[in-house]
Amino acid sequence: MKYFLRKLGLYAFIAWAAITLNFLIPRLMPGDPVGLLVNKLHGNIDPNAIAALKKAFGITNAPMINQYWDYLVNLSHGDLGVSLTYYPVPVSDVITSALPWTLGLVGITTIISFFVGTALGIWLSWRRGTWTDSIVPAMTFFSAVPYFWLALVLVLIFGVTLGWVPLSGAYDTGTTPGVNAPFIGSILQHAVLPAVTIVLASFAGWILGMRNMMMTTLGEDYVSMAEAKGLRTRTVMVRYAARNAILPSVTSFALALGSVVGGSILTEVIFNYPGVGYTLFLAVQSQDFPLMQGLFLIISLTVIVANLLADIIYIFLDPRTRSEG
Amino acid sequence: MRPVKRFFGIAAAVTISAMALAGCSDGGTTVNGGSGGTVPSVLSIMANTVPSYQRNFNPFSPSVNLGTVGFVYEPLILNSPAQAQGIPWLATALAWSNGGRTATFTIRDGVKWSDGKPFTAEDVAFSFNLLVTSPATNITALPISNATASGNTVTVNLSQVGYAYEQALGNFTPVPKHLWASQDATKWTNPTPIGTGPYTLGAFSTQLVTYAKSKSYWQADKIKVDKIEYPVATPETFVSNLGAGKYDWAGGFVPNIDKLFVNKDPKHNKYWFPGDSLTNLVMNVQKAPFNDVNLRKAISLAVDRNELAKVAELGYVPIANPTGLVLPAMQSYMDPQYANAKFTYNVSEANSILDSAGYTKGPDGIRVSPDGKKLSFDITIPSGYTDWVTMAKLLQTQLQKVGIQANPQGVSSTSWSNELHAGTFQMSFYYPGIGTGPYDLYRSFMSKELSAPAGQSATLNYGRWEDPQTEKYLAAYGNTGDKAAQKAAIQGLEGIVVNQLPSIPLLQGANWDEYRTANFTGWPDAQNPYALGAPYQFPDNLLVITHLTPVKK
Repeated sequence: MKYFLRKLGLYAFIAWAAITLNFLIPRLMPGDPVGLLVNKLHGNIDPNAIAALKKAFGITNAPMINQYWDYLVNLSHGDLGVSLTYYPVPVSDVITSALPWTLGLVGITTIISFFVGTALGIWLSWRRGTWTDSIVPAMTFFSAVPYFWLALVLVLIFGVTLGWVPLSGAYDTGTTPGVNAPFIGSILQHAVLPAVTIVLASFAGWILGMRNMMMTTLGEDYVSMAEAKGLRTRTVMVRYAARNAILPSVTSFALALGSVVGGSILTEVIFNYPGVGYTLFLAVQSQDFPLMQGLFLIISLTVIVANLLADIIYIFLDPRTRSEG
Repeated sequence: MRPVKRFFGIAAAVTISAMALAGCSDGGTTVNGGSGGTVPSVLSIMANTVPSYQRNFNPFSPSVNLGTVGFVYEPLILNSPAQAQGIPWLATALAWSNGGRTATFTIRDGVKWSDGKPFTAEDVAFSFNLLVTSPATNITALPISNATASGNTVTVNLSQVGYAYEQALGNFTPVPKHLWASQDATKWTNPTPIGTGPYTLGAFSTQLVTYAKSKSYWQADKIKVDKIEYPVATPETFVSNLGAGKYDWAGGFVPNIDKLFVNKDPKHNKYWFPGDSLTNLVMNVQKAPFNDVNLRKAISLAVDRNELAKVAELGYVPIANPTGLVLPAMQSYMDPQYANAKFTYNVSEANSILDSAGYTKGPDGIRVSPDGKKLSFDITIPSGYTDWVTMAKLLQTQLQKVGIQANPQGVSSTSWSNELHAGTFQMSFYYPGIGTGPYDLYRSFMSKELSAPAGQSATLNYGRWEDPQTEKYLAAYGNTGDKAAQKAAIQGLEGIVVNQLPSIPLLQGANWDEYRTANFTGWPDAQNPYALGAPYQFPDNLLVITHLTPVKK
């Protein structure tokens, strides 16, 4: 329990630090969103309107400490401010509209690659020393090539040349959003290629991690013992070896789920997928500070929560952490 | 990446990073099940590249979804840069009094908001007063003190002589008082817009916004397009979709347009890129050596504008006119003495001007100014604007021939913008926009009001041209409602640009307008330039939609 409280205190401090940095960083960055907007307008804006825009965007010269206080007060009300690119749409609305796409695409692919990767890792370690060992280098190839290159090659082959899948977007604009077959079909069709690229690029990590842990575990006496007793191969592999080897993978899985919210910027940019990553990319391009702030905040808070959860899971999985406290 | 700037049109300051709106499928269109049924005509528009839409239909927002202004909310008097006269729209007349400090609009009878309530002078006065009570909504900076309604007229009192704002006042789009009075106009996203315009919003999704024909539009006979769609587009998908014929109307830069668009259906795929802005070579003329008009003239002569247009802009844009006027939109303001004026490329004349002005060539072939400074300058440009990067490189080669060293310096768009404002750059490019006419254009790069003393931040006049004669012409335009006198003032400004080159006009900016005649006809083009054609252009978008006719199939 003491261990748990200590962790909780630590994470509360980290969260405060993240919130504060999140306030400071955009304000320390050079640049002026209004100036950028004026330039985008081709100068077709009356200069006297710049004051109106600054007012509208809430850009003030108030002392930092006052701004910080306002920021904390707004935050406690769940108010993340108003996006500048989508002014006057609240940042929380912009994030809410992007979040489901990212959770759906990146979340599901993370889960898929964890399960597929871990299962493959177990199997490969069991069959060590046979021809299957050559699968490992092949898998590492996919995670080693730059992701954007892999994605673009797949787009070229399956999207452009073969025309099997759409090139970009989240669904066909000809369909009506809602719970209906054409719309859901269209979402799936659009998600296939990005999902495949993410899984291909990431599941080698799970395979390697799992396989290596398995190798260590398989050398343990209790595994040899189980084999000697003549238990079924499957039982030995799963119940005796994998159960112990999977511990580190589970914690890194919790961490991976935490970073899902951040999306996969490269995937979303390449496929024009309207998720959090693409939104962040555009926010940075147009110096939309409130939106960036909101996104960073959500992303860092989920990572912190995921870390906390991983620590808690560890308490249950590993008795040593319990006795230490 | 191609410069994003290309996608942002002149549209009334407002409609920038807009996203598309979607109209609804149950709008005023019918599909008859039986024989001889009519299929509703759907116009698909790509006006801007965004990955997804947000539900923002507040016409006072700088990032409102495109189509809100024009298709849902309409102007009082439609002023297009392509039209010499304003076209009475929601107002039938505008009268000036009180020495140009009072504008009186006569409001059209019989117009209804799309929720059935009548459109009245009260609504107009309320909307103008919003600009005063919520200054953040006043993004066109109209100098309004107050507005009052009486019968079918609205009296707008201005804080200064307002003739120069005639077009901007006319293009103002009123909103219904009965819906807006209880809202904070600066914060409300107006999720279901109610306007007087030919279209209403139907369905909205983050990937598609569509508008359906309004059932109660006051000039319903002019609207033949049943439904308008704005699907999302990104720079990556736009060109391939355009080539595939998915858009009827698009406004974006397309590399190699003949191959990627026109040749896919030469009979129907067309484009028209009239000028809508200038691209100027800007120098800080308050500082030596650019305060010397001879140096500016020599540079202008040494620039091969045709090469810039052909290589950097793929030949899409015309070169600038020596008067700086954006053509053909501003043709009617052309001073007869410059009617045939053209920029010439003449290296030997440039060299002889420099020789006689005392710029002598040093041993390395670079000239030295009379006070001993080398003519070696940085051209500061945003490195993301690939066309400008090419232009700067071409200038480097061209200017070398007259002994001037120009070094392209690519920087981030933020530091470029900062250097322009601070006046610390040596040479750069800038694009003054067409605004509502030549006054806006000239004012933006020649007015003392928009310049600043050394060391301070200039608003738009980055070359910091400050000249008493220029001020006289600008004031003369602003102080009179007489069209002939206004024209004379503009022609005076033309003379200053021709003779003194406050900035050096290089090219015109293009108004990106790609369209297909397969489904609709009636588009503006070089033969019938009744409007600027880009779909992001307000109020021209409204003018175009009233001219379109579906093709019978």
